[in-house]
Amino acid sequence: MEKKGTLTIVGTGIKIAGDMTIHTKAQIEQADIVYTIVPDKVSRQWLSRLNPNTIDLTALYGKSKSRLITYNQMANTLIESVKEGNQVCAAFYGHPGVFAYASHLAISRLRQLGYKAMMEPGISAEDWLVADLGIDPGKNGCVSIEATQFLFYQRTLDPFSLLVLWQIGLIGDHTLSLEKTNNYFRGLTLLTEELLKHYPSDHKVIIYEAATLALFPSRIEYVDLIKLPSVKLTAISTLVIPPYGEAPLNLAMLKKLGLNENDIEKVLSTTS
Amino acid sequence: MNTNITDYLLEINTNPAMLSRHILSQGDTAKEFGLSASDVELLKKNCLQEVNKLTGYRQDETKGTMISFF
Repeated sequence: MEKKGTLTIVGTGIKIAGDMTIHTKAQIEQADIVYTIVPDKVSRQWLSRLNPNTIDLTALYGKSKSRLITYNQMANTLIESVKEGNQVCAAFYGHPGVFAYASHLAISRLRQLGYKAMMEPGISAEDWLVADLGIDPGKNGCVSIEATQFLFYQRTLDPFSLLVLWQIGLIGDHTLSLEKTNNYFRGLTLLTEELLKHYPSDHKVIIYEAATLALFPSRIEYVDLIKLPSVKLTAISTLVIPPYGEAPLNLAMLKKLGLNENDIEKVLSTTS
Repeated sequence: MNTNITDYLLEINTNPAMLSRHILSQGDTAKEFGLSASDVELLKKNCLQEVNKLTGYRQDETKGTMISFF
């Protein structure tokens, strides 16, 4: 039998208030208690108006404290509130399941304990990136990866795909406790050296930051790859590396399929 | 923070017609909304850093943004 308390985790989106779905708004309004993780006062005030019983979980962050500890505490706070029998809503910035360890942890533990726990999607930075930059990740494929993870592990880079490196302003940090993005130069320099093995030095890369307020545009800054280490980054900076040309056709595979280069070109040249 | 400017920023973020009027009006829309003269002046400067200061949003801080792990 399902237990009484429930957890619904929703995303507030990137553009404050404007990105919120009708269903997410209703979840927040109808919850017994709302826990929030949003980066600014405007968002917090908006959420408090939707439901006055709102608690800000960013109070759990601490100076020199590992975010791993903080995120476990956030998950535990949600779990305990559900165990008390509450209809809990957690409202996280962006998409609540993207770059959000605490939300997945809380849902997984609560389900194991027999509680109803679910997530509803929100508009993420990646969604805005696609819209703002006019890039279709389906065209050449997309590799999307956290920047430090890209440096720390041996990964295969495909220069014919779109490459998106998240949290570039924290690249190289292994402490999980940085409070400010002021220590990325070495990591960024090493990343640039690595990328230069696959792309020309004048390959245009993009620093992207989605706008949270409609009054201001998103940051879209094009820079030659070689100049990347001199760029100023923030906690919300993303590095976007457009594909370096089209991948060559796999003629051997086409042959096995009974096709050749002309068959592909013929289809792709049909525009109307 | 002045509550009126919060209301105004929320309105602008959720009402495209209001945003268009704000962009065209150079402060008149904000004034009509009831913002103080100092808030109207601040918005007219169109300075992201100053508005961020007002909203408590620090782009260089990791607090408040969910960060993933390596």
